[in-house]
This record gives sequence, structure tokens and C-alpha cells, in this order.
Amino acid sequence: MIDHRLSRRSMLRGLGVSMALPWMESMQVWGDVSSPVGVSSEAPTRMAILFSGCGYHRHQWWAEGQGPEMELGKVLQPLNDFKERMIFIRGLYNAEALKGNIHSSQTGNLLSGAPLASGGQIQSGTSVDQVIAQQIGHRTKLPSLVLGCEKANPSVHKDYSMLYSSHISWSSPTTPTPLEVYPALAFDQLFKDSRQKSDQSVLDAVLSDARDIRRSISRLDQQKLDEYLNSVREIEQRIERAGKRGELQGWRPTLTEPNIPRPSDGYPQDIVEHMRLMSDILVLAFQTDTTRICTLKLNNDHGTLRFPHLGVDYMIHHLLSHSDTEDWLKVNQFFLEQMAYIAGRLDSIQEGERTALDNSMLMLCSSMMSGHHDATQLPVVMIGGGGGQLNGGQNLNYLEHENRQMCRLYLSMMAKMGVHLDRFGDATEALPEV
Amino acid sequence: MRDRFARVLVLATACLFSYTDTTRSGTQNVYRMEPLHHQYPRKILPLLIRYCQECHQGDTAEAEVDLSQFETIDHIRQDLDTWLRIREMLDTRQMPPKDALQPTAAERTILQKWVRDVLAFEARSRSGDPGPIVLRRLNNEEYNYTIGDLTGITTLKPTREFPIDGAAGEGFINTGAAQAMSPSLVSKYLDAGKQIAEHAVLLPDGITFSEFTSERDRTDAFMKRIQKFYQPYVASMDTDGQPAWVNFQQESRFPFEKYLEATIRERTDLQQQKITLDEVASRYRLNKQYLRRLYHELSTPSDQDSLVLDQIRTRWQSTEAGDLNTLAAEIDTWQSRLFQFNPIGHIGRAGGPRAWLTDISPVTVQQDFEIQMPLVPFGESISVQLITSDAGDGTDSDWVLWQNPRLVGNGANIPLHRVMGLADRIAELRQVMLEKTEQFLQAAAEVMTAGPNELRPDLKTLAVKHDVDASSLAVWLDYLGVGVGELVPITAYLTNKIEKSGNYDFVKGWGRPETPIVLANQSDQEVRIPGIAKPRSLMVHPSPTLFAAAGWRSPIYGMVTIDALVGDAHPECGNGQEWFLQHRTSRGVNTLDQGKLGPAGRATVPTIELDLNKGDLISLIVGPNEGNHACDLTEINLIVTEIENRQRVWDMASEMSLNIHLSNPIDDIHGYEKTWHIYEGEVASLDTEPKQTLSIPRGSLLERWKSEKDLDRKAFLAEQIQRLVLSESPKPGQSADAKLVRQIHGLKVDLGDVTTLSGIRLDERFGIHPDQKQVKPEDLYVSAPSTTSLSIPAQLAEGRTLVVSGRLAPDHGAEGSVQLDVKLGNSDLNQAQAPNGPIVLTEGSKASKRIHAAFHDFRQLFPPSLCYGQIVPVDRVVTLTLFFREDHRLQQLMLNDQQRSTLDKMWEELLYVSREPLKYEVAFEQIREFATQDRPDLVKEWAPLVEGVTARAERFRKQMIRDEPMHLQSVEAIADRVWRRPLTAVEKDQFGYLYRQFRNSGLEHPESIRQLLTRVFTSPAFLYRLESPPQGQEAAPVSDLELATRLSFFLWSSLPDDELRNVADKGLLVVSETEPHAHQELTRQTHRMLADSRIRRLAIQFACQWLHLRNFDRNDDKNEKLYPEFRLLRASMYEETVQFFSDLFQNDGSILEMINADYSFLNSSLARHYEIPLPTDTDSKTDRLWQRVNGVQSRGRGGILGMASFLASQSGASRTSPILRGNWIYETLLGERLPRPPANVPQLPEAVPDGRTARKLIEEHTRAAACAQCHDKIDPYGFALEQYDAVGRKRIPYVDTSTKLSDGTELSGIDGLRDYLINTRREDLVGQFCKKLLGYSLGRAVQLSDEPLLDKMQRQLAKNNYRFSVAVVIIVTSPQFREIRGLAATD
Repeated sequence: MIDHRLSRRSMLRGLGVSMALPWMESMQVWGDVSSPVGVSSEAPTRMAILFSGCGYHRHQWWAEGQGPEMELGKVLQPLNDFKERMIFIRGLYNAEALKGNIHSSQTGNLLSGAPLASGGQIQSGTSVDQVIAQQIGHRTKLPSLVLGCEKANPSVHKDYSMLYSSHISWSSPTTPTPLEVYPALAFDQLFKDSRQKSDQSVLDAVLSDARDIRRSISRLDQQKLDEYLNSVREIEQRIERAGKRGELQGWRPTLTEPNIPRPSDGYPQDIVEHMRLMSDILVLAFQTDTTRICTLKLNNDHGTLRFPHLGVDYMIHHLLSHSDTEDWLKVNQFFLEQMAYIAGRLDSIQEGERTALDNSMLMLCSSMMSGHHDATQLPVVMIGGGGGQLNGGQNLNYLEHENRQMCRLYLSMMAKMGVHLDRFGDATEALPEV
Repeated sequence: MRDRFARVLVLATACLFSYTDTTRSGTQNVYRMEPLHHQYPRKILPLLIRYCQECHQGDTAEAEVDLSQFETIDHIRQDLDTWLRIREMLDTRQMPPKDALQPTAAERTILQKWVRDVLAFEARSRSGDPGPIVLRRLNNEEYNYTIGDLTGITTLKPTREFPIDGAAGEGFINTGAAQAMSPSLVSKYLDAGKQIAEHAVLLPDGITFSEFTSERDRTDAFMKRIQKFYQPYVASMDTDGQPAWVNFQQESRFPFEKYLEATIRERTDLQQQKITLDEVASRYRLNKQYLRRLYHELSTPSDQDSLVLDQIRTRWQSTEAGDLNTLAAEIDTWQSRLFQFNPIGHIGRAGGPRAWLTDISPVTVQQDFEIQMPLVPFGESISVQLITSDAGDGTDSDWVLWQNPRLVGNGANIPLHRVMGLADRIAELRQVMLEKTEQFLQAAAEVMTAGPNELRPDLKTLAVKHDVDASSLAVWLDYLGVGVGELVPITAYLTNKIEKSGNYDFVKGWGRPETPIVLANQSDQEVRIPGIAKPRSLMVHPSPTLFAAAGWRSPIYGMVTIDALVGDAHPECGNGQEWFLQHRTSRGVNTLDQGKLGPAGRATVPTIELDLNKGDLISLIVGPNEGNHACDLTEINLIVTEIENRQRVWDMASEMSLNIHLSNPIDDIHGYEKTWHIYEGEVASLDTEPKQTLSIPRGSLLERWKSEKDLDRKAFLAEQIQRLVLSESPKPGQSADAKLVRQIHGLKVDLGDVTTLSGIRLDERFGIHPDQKQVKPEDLYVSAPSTTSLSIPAQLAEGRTLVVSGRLAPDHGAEGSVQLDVKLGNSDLNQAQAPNGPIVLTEGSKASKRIHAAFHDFRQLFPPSLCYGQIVPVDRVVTLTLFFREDHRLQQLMLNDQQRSTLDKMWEELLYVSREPLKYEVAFEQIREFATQDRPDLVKEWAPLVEGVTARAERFRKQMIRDEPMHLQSVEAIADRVWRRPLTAVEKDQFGYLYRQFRNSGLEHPESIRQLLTRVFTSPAFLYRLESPPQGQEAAPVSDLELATRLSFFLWSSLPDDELRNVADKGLLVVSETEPHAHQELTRQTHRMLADSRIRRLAIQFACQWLHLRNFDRNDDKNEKLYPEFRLLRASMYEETVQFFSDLFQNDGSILEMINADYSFLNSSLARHYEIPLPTDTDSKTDRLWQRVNGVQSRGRGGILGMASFLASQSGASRTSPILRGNWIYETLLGERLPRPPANVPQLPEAVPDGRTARKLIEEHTRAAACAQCHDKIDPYGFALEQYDAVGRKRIPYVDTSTKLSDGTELSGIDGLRDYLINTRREDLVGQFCKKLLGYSLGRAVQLSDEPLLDKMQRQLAKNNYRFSVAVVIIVTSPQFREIRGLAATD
């Protein structure tokens, strides 16, 4: 016998603890008198950058028209449902990517516009996501999340370290942000709090080691050691913040516990599953407000991923990307489907009046326009409302524009995230249209 | 960057006018700097302006090369990197571009030569610069190797899932520039540190690391270590032929047989001294110490003193190899007699054993026998022998007194000396009885012919009437199954009425207030009471000691069938019941069926046919199982059906459930009175022994007599039977009448009271003394060896037990030693074996001492077990002992001092790691508390243990506290090792401070030590390879410890081992170059390390990384559908390469072997892949066996070019790629550099068209000029290798592998390519090798100032057959490797 008069509340209880409270319930925090003055009760803006290497099909990356009438090339078909919330951008480029080598020097500075060092040295620029993370990352448990679906390549190619090909996110000009490719470990980053109180003593001790050592080494080495020092400090601060989290925020996320199981250990053999898990983790990170900044590298530029599920099982780099075939199109669409999936998931999460997608800014780009190393313009597409700061349905073309630096877009994006800089990379002003 | 050369510039100017150099090409030339200096404005600058500056000038300079800034040679010196590029562009003729104005040949030569000369001079003047080396973190691999070397746990790889390290410098992951650090990485390092610390095990003398992290697993590992130590001394479980008596102790059995076997096999050679005992021991893998002793004991002639060993010696001497069993069995037997295994759980208890294996001495002053007589037909008799034998030591004084041998039981005891006379009497009486057979039959006939309801005559009247004695008549009637209608009495009726049960008034019955009870459910309803009472059913419930029974007393004579059923009516609980179906007559009880019910059990008795007499009782009896009567409610039913007459039915459940409360006994529904009976009785007194019953043989005269109705004929038959039994004596035979004769001759004879029977002949062997002294008439006085045989008639034996005591006769036997035995049946006297019973002797006699000594000798040599091999007790009793140690016999017989102390240490560590004394104390206390409630006796028995348990725990606690500072020191020692330097006093203080901080915060000692270890592994001192640069500009040698670390990480990717660390601690590595033996120790250590197996890491980290093959075993790039085998083969492919380079490095091979080796390393699956037969056919599917295979070039392999790892890694997912392979040879192997690929390459074809080779495809589509620029240089190399497919298999059929290189060389296939590389391109090949090795060793990119060193390496290699160690030694002794830039130069 089913009792039809179940109260709504008991219904909620019945659905289990992992279910988020509906928006209205968590809204009560708004009136919470203990909220510090000046802290916003609005849901925060989140930013995700998706990357896939080697560009897209030469003839099928295009958009015509504006708003609902916008027509999309085949590569972009997976985004059809999001046309009105999408900004298609044509013609931006990264001047530094035209120097140096192919692949590596087109990727390692994609998000910074910085010149790259060759000859066995590493020198790029801090990438846009990390610049933002360094400014506002302390507001969340993790300053940023850097995910990937293909392992980094540990070699040097044509005088450039493959680090450049393997990393779009850079914490400093000399340091790519370590990439998490294991779904389980990425999940743990979000939710596993294994730090004990005694860890703080350990960290204090090794911090003092580092300070002692710092005195007797060269300035060059000091810079290297400072990465360590700052990282240890950051961990210490996280432990401190962990105790206080929740008190500082006027807004509370709609989800506090993971609503998906921890992925199994190890490296997924199936690329579809791998990308799906990483996408889910990205969404979960935003939904729980564990971080507001995420980069997801779907594959390496110059990568070796294969796509047996698409019937495409040969070298993607070179043979595949240099030939604008149906196979290449399938692979391109597969990448765009990931973006559509993430957008769809975010759009299903209500955060007050808006959805999480309205409060997010997804950007997808590649290192070159097409697989022929052509970086004279870069493929860019964005989805999401950016917390009401982005107007969808736009089709922008900067090809004829004099100042069409990719870094201008980054300045725009930083501003939406609350980081206002006078210049970034080779740009000094944001794109007014974005 | 530019400032840093200020110092060398000064030097350069100083030697400006006297500079001699050997150029890279090796031609001797003399350059003077001044001309170079002057040449620039006059000759060189005009050329640059004319041919280059159009593009390379000002802000818009192509490739950011602005040549206009180089006004003088000083400007050039400040930007040599650009000039290195200019040299490359000129040498490779890439500049000026083909569509631009070209210099003349002469102009080009002038320009080229001048640039080369300037750079060569600069290189020379800066030579030896240690270079800028960015602070290096241990990369993931170095971290794992280091932890592996420290802990000895190779499976512990904490960085397994860390982010991939980047590569920089010359393309290696040991280069600081590419090594990132971030909060998430620090977090991972912290966790990795904890993970390592989890493996730390605190020991009584320091800290070690265990593969396991749980205390349980670690304890097991320490225990297994001891078990492994014990293993050679205990027999394995599957050894056949172990004596049963060892039983569950099998695992700990000492396998003495293999020692015996060795002594027997080698006996002759040993005697002739052809072989020594130690040689035998090692050949048979036996313990020398014990073998010596055993052989000595066995080969010594018997001395008649050692009763047991003498027997064994004698047998040993006559035993041949392969015939060990008898000897072994004899030793087994003695072991079982002289040793006893005790339950470990009882050791130390009051009254308990002292040890697991204890001595027993099978001696006694008196041996008592009690032997139950078997049941045999009355006509027969039982043979009994009293055996007296010597104890193996001669028969002197072996006189024995067998005291009062007698048959006990059945209400009358019979001394054996009367048996002979009683047998005579039985025979006489039987004769009388036989003669009256006819009368007995007639009396029986009278009873039988009476009608079913007629009153039958009583026994006495009938006996008198027929002139027979009444008791014999009863025997006959019983035999014939004819009853006289006597009621079986029932004494213990249940008398209390039970009015209702389980609150149901329709469940009534009889019984005691508690139990037993008998209940009936009178309703049609099934109810719970709380067992299940089915409708119209009858139930019984026993008490712990009393059974409950329901019986039917027959109101009729004749044949019936009986059906019975019992079922547990309370299935949810209890341990079940036992039940019996019995038939009782006035003469005794016969159990028709019986059994036990498990919980919810049910039994239906198969239908039984019975001939009943009126008054017989059929009962169903239910008792508790093993005294436990909980939940023993039992449903029962009994159905009796008349076969003849009226075929009436008596149904117990249905009748009783109707009438249960009418009375007890209850009348039946057929009108008979008192048919049903409800009663109880003692379970213990229930007679359930099977009874001998005789059934009349089918077809015999008697059967015919019995069924004969006609009285005349019956009488005639009786007469015939009378004649038969008198005329024939019993004899074997299967005929009916032969059986009948045996039966009648065996009918029980009425002897009357055997004890008072007089006039019985006495057995003359009893009551006799050899000296005619007084002996009791019933005693037997004999000397050994002797056997006294007796024959006991079955009638006397029935229900009796033979009882006798044997001892040495007090006079003649005082100094004797005998063994006694009593045997039944006719055993062969001549073959009588020595009895296994105790030896009977007199206490304190000489014989006694002699025998005890003999036992001792045997025990010393042949203990059944040397040690308790299981360690964890496998008792069948409750034991608190976690680990049991009993190995003193092992120590005495087998071990030397060192082994003993090793064993002691292992035990100490086991108890320490498991904290056994504390656990024991807790467990002991708990079980004592538990036992106080209902086993106060146990508490008392355990009392002696308390003190020891507590004291041991207390000692252990104190030791643990005492050990705390020692563990802290161990952490410091670990830090010293992994930080690769001694700790400062401040650091030590800080460790102590941190430790106390942990303790104060509530962490226990072990956790605090672990957290401290975490701190060690998270420190920058561990994670980074820190070095202290000197102040100022000057480079200076690094310290000894720093140099040791550099060397060790170079060659082993890990921290220095003990020897290297020692040498460094002594300051022997860094010596000034002026000393005569400069670098001697450094070189010695280098050679030592090269020869070590850890050089495998260099093969992986350097060679495989250089060749882009590292981690090939995890290569996931192949299309599984096309190459399903690849996933299984990739690890083997990789291993071939790793083994190849490991071998090359370890054995100091020529580096040219890399290309032209004619051998490789293969396992079976790789050999199959290559289609090369293995020289040693391993015949196993295991791929773990690797072998070196020579002559592989003839099969298309040899060197890296023929390896599947290279061929597959430089292929596509689904097909080969000549481009990738070619590019690899061009760039990776030869170190050439391709021009920058075009930014916008033309389109390639859509897919591989059918029927076209990869080669054709590529040839067609690289014709475009933009592509050809690169592809012309690389593709031809790839075409030469097209014979191999994308997983390195040889293709069949032949593929066109002829190719023309960009330098015009024409060659074909792998052989042609190999020749070309080895001969034409040798310098480039070796040059690239040197460059990569140097870059790897220094952890940075090779720079201009390294060129002289590279030249030197090349020259020395060429002079020394290209031996690998030559290159390594030049590197490690170079200033680049040994020195570090000054602080000022770096900044």
C-alpha cells in the first residue's frame, strides 16, 4: 500500500542524503545574520576552459548568422541546442604561436600569449586560469582544478620540451600546473580530506627546512625552491581554511557531498568513459563550489589518443589531422560533445533563478585552426551566461580587426571572474563585445 | 645570461694570440684569434650584409635574428646562441633560402670556416664550465628507486600515479627546468611520505620496512620468516607414510628418513672413506651436525647396553637402500612409545603438561588387562593367550606372576583356572539336554496349539508335565519364539496429568512438572506450545537424564507389521534427540531400530515384521541428545497391524490423542485392556546392546516342525530332530540341518551358580611355583618367553570381561624386564611380535636403570619433532598462546651458535612486532574473567600462570618505553641516508622537538615515529638534489657527498649505496687534480657501479628515454583489432631493449653494438614473434625466462633497428610510418635537425587506399615542395625498414626496401641501413650518443663550452673500441660533472 499523503519533506528524506536540497531550501542562508557584510549571496561565476589539440576540420568549423537563426558547421553540430547561449568567435590569434616550432610552441602559451623558450629550457607564461586562481582561488577549497584525458609526454621534440604540448595551464612561467589524469585522484582532490592536525607540524618543519636551504643557494635555484615553499604554504592555508569554510560565504552551494560514486582506481582504458568521468568531476566541482576555475585538456596537441568507438583507430596527429576526412570530423564532434555534455549537466542544476550554466562560462579552443599547423587564427567557442555577464547568440568575427589578440578575450574573461588587469600577454584591452 | 661569461671573456683575451685547437672534424689547424678578429669587419661583415641582412635586420627580423646588432666580435661573443644557429644554417645549407641570392662557393666556405673557428675558440676558452643547472627534484622514477633501495620493497612505488614528469635539457626527465612543483604535488608528496611511513616497522634494534602495512600482515611476514627457517627440519605436509600417531602435528614432524637414507646409500663409501660426511650432507642437503652424529651412533657396534638403539643399529646395518620402511617403522614405533604430544593450550596449567612434546617412559611394575569377551555362538569357544616375552634384553630373571586371571561380569566371576572344568560340565549338561530334545519340542507344541485367546500353561507346570527342567525349557521356547504369555512389567509410569499446554486446553498429557512429558493434541488445529503440535498428534519431551516413552503391549499372539515415525517438533532450536524402537519380551530386550535426529530431523522406520507373544511390549523411546533437552519436543507415532486373523490396526497417535486422559495405561479401541503405556526411565540404564538371536534355518527339520499343524506329523518330526542332534556332532556346513545341529548344540545350558559349583576340575598350569613354593591357586607363575593358551566356552564368555594383572614375580623376577600381552583368537605363536605395551620391571632395579638409559639414548637421537613448525598453535583445545616456540631440540641437534642467535633474534622481533606479551596479557585476563562465572576450577588451574604473564607484559612495556629514543635515532639515521648528508645538530634537536610535539598532541609512539618519517620524506632535503655553490664567480668542486649523489643518480637513479656513501664520508672522491692518483677512487666506484645490476636503471632512464622507448610496456597506441597480440607482447618487446642496454652497460660493450649487434635477448613469445628458434628450448609457456641469442642478423634482427619496440613505437596505430621511423633515425639517432615544418601543410589523402603500400602513399603526397624539404631527408630511412610491420613483425612477402638517401647514398633494407649508419655516419652516431649521455649525466642541455669534452669523448671512444665505460669515466671525471658554478656566475 502506498500512502499518497506523504509529506514533501519525508519524500526528500526518502531520497537519501546525497540529494541536494532544492534551491528554495538552501536560500534560507540569504537571511543568515551571521553572514559577513559585503559577502555576496549571489551564486559565483565559474569558468572552464576545454582544450583539444591539432585544431578542427578545415571546412566544418564555422557559424553563420546570429541568435536562434545561427547556422553551425558540422564540427559544431553538438552545440545546436545551446545556440542562444553561445558565442562563436572567429579570427583571434596568438602572435607568439606563429614563432618557434609547431605544436609545442602553439600550445604551451595558448592561455598566456607568452614567448616560449627552446633549447632544453622551460619558459612560458602564467596562464589565464592560474592568474585568476591566484587572485580568487582562496575563496574555495581548491583554487583551481586542472584535468586531462591524456598523460603528459615526457620528451623533447624539435628543441622544444613536450611539456608545452602537454600543458595549457601554467602556474608560473617555468611551471606547468600538474595535470590530473586519474579520475579517482581528481575526485579525491575534491572530497578527500586526509590532512591531520599533525600534518601541519610536518609542513611547518619542512617549510623551515626550505627557508634554511634557501639562504645558501643561487637565485635561480631559489626560484625553483620557492615553488615548493609557496606550495607548502598553500597547503597549510588550505588546512586552515578548511576549518573555517562555510562561515565566510553568504552563498552556499546546492550540493555539499558528491552525488556520484568515487571512480575506480587506475587509468581508464576507454576514452569515452575517461572523458565522461572527467566531465562529471568538473560539473561536480562547480556544483559543490569546490573550485570555480577548471581547465580540461581533452587530449594533447601532438597526442596519441585513439578513438576505437568511432571506428577511428590510427594516428590522430599527422595522418588524421592533416587530412580533413569524415574520420577527423567524427573525432572533432566527439570533442564538442564533451562541451555539450558539460553545458547540459550544468544547465540541469538550478541555482535560484538561474542554472549553473547561467552562472558559468565555458570556453573551448584549440592550438591551431586546423590540423595543418595554421595558427593564424584560433577556433574559439563559448557557452554560458557568465553570471549574467555574457550575452549568448553572438557570432563575432575579428579577422579583419587590427587588434585580434587571443589575450584580449582572456582579459574579458578575467573581468567576468572579478580579476581586472591592465594588460595580459600581448593585450592591453578586453574585447568589448564579450 | 650574457653577464655570466664575463669571467671567461677575460681568460679568452689573455690567450688571444696563442690558440691551438682541434676542430670537430678532427683536422689539425692553427688559428690565431687576431686574424679572426680582423677578418670580421673586412671579410665577414660584408658577406652578412649582402646575403643575410635583407631579412635579418631590425624589428622585423626573420626568426628574431637581427644580424645588424653584431658590429664587432665582442657583440658576437655576447650572443653565441644565435651564432650556433647560424653555424647550423650554414652547415645544413638552409640559409640563405633557395629562392634568395646565393653566395659563391668560395664565399660560403669563408663564411662557414670563420663562424666555426670563432665558435671553436669560444668553446675552448669556456671549456669545462659546469653550466647552469636548475635545482633538480627527484623525478618520479628516482623517487621510487630511492624508496625501493631504502626499504628493500620493490613493489612500493609511491609516485606511480603522480603527474608525468616533464622533459627538458637533452630530453630527459632528470632536468630541473622541466620539474614542476605545486600545492597538489606537495600534497601528493605528503601522502607518499605517509604511505612509506606506513611500511615502517619498529624493531628492538631499530626501524625496518615491511611490504605490509597492517600489524596482522607484518606479523605474518615475521612469522613466515621463522617458519622458513624451520622448514628444512620439518617434513612437508604431503610426505607419505607418516605414522598415524603424529596426527595433526604432521607439519612439525622431523623427517629423519632422509638422513637415514643418506647414511645407508653412502654407507659403503663412507666406510671406505671415499666420501666424507660433510660431502654427503651437502649432496643430500642435510644438516652436517646431525648427520655426523647420526652416522656415528649408527655405525658404532652394538654394545648391548642400549636396548633400543641396539635394535636399530642392527637393523640399520642390514638395511639396504630402497628398503628403508621397516627400519623407519621401527623408529616410528619407538617414537610413539617414548614421546607424547600435548595440547599447547594446557601447558603451564596446574596439572597440565610442561611442554608440547614430552617424554614418556613405557615402564610399569604391574600391567593390568581388561578385555571384553566377544559375542560368539554358544556352541563355540574363545581362545585366549597370556603372552610373556622378554623386553629385548634377554630372558634373565624374566619370571612373571599373572595374578588372578578371571572372567568378570554377569553376576558371577569365573577364575580362569576353573574354566577348563566348567567347560567339561557344560558338555555333560548339554548331552542331557540334547537327549531330551523331543520332550522340549512336545512341550512347545502344547503351547503353540493353544488358541489365541486360550489361557496358556505356565512354565513350571509345563516342565513338570514333560519331564524337563524349567530353565532349559525357557531357553527352548525362546529359541522357538514361543511364548507362554508373560506380561512385560512397566514400573515407571508417568502419573501426573497435564491439563493444558502452551495455553491450549486441547493439548493434554502426562508428565513431570518440568520434563519428561508426553502430550497429545486432541484438536484439528496446529498450534505452537512452543514446539509445533500437529492436529491429532502425540508428542514426547525427555529431560536431560530421563527418556519419555510410549508403548504398545501386545494383547495378541502372532505376526504383525510395525511402522514407526519420529520427528523433531521444535526445529528452530536445540541439538536434536536420540530415539529407540524396542521390542521387550519377558526374556529381554531387542532394539529394532534407533537413531539420532538433528534439528528439524525426521525418521521413518522401515516396516518391520515380527512374531509377537501376548504381553510383549513395543515402545518408542526418546531421549535427549548428549544431555541437552532444550527444544526436544518430538512427534512420535507407532502403527501395529495384524498380519493374520482379523488384520486389526493399532494407531498410537490417533488412539492416544483421543483417549490420553482416560487412564495410564490406556485401553485400546479393540476392547483390550491396558494396551497403551506412557512411561519414563533413566537414559543411562536403557539397554540398547544388540542381542544374539537365533533364527531357525530355513528348510530345516525344525522349521518344518514349527509350521506343521498336524499333531501326529509334528510329533514325528520332533522324533527325527531328536535323532539328528544325537547322531551328528556340530560341524561346518551350509546345509539347513547342519546349521540346525550347530544351533541346538549351542543352546544355553543351565549351569546353575558357577561360583558355587563344586567338583570342578582345576587347570593344572595355575597355582604352581617353580620351586614348589606357595602360590595362590588361581595365579599363574611363568618365565619368559611363554604363552599360556586357554579355551573359553562362549556361554561362559558371554557378557564377561577378562581381567588380569601381570607383574614380575617377587622372587625370581626382581631383576627381570618383560613385556606382557593378552590376546584373543588363535594367533601364530611363532610369529608373536614384540608387544607394544609397557615394559614391566621392578622399580629401582638395575634393569630399570638400564632401560631408562636406553630410552634416553633413543630420544636424544630420534625426536619425532625438532620444533613446533606451525608456530601458531593448531590445538583442538582453547589456547591463549599466539605464537608457540619449542625448538630446543632443533638447537641442540642442528644449529650452530650463529644460527641460534639468528633464531633468537627472529623470535624477539616477532614478539616485538606483534606486541605479543601485551596481547597475551589482555587475552589471558579476559578469559579468566569469563571463566570465573562458571568454571572456577579453571581459574584455579590457571593461577600458576598469572605471575609470569603479568611480569612478561610489564617487562615488554618497559622495553618499549626504553626503545623510544632508539627509534628516534633510527629516524635520524634514515634521514641521514635519504637526505644524502649528515644531519646538523640543529636538525637533530628539531627532530626531537617535533617528536615531543606529536606525543604531546596525543599520538602514540609508533604513530609519532611514522609522522616523523613523513616529515623526512616531505623535506626539500629529500625531494631536491641540493648542492651548495661557492661564493663569487669561480666554479669549484662539489663536496664529496654531493659528488657521490651526482654519481649515484647518474648511474643508478637513486641515492648512494653504503659503499659509495662510506667512501664519500671519508673524503676519498674529491681530490685535487694535482695529486698523483686523482680520481682513482671516483673511477673505481664508477666501474663498480657500472658492473652492478642497478645499471638497468640507466638503460631505462637514459637509453630508453633517449630513444623514446621508456614506458613502452604501457604503450597504448595500437589498434587492438588489427594487432590483438600487441598488448600481450609489448612488455616483452620493452624488456628486450632494456636487457640489451643493461647488458651493454654492465659488461662494458661497444656502443656501436646499439646498431650492429648480432645478438639479442629473447623470451619465448618474443622469439615466436621474431620467428627465431631459441637455443635452449624452455618448453614452458612462461615468458619470464630470457636468454641471449646470437646470430640474429641473419634473421633480420640485431641492434635497435631490428627491435620491435622501436619498429612499433615509430609506427602508426594501424600501419607503419616510414616518416616516423625515418624521422627517428634522422633526429633521435643521428642528431640532425630538420627545418621548421611549414605552418600550413598541404592536405594528405583521406585514407589508406586498398592495395597501396604506405610507402607509395607517402611518396605520392610528399612531392609538394613544402613537404619535400623535410620528407626527402627522413622518409628514405623509413623506407629501408618497410620489411617490418607496425608491430615489428617481418612482412611476407618481400617488400621493396631499396632507397636513396638525401646525400645520394643508395641502400636497401635493414642490413644496408646498418652498414651506412655504422660506417658512413659513425661520427654522427657516436657524437649524438655522447651529447645525450652528457646531457643526461649533467641534467641540462649541452652547450658550446661542452664541445671540447664531447670531442674528447669521441676521440677516446674511437681509440678504445667504443667501450661504454670510457665515455662514462670521461664524464664523471670532467669538471662539468665534478664542479658547480659560483653563486655570482649563476646569478
